[in-house]
Amino acid sequence: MYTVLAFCAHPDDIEESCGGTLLKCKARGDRVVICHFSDGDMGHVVIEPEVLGPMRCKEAKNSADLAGFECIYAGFHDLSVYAETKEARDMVVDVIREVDPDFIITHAPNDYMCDHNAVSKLTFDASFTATVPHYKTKVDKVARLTPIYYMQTACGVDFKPTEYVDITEFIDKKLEMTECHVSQMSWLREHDNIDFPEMVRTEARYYGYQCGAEYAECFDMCRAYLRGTTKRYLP
Amino acid sequence: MYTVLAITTHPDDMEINCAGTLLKCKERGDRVVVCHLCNGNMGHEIIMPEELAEMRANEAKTSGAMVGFEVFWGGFDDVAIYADNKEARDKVVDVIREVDPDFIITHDPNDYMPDHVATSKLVFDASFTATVPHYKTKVDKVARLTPIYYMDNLAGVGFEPTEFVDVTEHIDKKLEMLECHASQVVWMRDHDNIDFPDMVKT
Repeated sequence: MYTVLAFCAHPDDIEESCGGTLLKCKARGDRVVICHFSDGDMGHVVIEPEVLGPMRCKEAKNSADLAGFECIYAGFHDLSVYAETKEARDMVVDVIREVDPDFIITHAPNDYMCDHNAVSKLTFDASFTATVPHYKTKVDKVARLTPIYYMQTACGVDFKPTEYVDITEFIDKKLEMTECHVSQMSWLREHDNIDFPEMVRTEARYYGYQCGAEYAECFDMCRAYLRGTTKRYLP
Repeated sequence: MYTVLAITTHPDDMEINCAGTLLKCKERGDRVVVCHLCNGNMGHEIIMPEELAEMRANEAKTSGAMVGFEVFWGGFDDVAIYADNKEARDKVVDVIREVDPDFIITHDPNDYMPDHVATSKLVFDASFTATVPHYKTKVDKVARLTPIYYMDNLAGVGFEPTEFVDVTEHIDKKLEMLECHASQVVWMRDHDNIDFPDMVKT
């Protein structure tokens, strides 16, 4: 049906913020592609980056395989994603040109830490740039200009949802995917004092209350010229 | 009366968003200066960038000359302008120091594409920097810190106006200036599926 391309900063961001929605997309026949910018190499109090990076890429792949999603790693490292570089923008342009999605999901511009916000800006900038025929990058194609859906910020702080997706049918799978990120269960407990699966379930239940579903995820559409649509792309 | 400096991104952005207002400024005796930061070189599906940049420079000059605006150039290529960049900021500082405006018009910070967003931030940052005496750039003057007016976003999406200008008397001239940008009438039809003059008039 559609091709959806979801960008996120770190392995596990997708599962928390839009995993259920993507599972629902897959169930209706969409092609689902995830691209995580960074390998999450800084996300542990004990395990060193050179070890953690590959470990987290594998966790991301395990989770994607569970769901039948394609998984792309953009090649960055934690706390080293900068929006204002041609190199980063061109990398994202190439992913968009290669996948040629019907709609894009990414982080909200005002999320909780710099990598997420950089990804948000890079997505916005690159998705326009990818449509400009004479702007040449490695991938020799021109993408279409598509709507962008911003997924909830971490824990929904300062996020105003305008769209909801009922993910009740997919909550167990979403949590199973979340638990593929074994390294993060301990990082979040030690760095943030948080039980990760419990937090993810609570967020989905909370958004469910906001829209009359048992479990839900929420989004805010990017508002800009040419980004509006009369279609509902979300499942 | 006043000197107004409109710093916009691509040739034709000025016509879309503030030409009517600038025409009214000119009419009341202001000095009107427009600075196009980008050369518009990517704005066509067929015409190649090098050729298009020259073509669009001529389109902008024609439009400006028609109405007596001074035209400055930033020299950036399309989709190649970054706000967090000293070289870019200094270039804008120099334009502001050279012109020394009483007020500035530029793009809104949440306009629809990256070059416009970068322009907005560059203008905000440079207009302060230009007032700092020991910050040295090519132009050896110090500008005054002035109000900045953000123009409407393209199609007004996400824009909350707080000021309006009646441009009724100048609408025909504004559209005449817009039509100088012949290459863009084609680009907007092919890339955006839009009748450009009709959209601007509406």
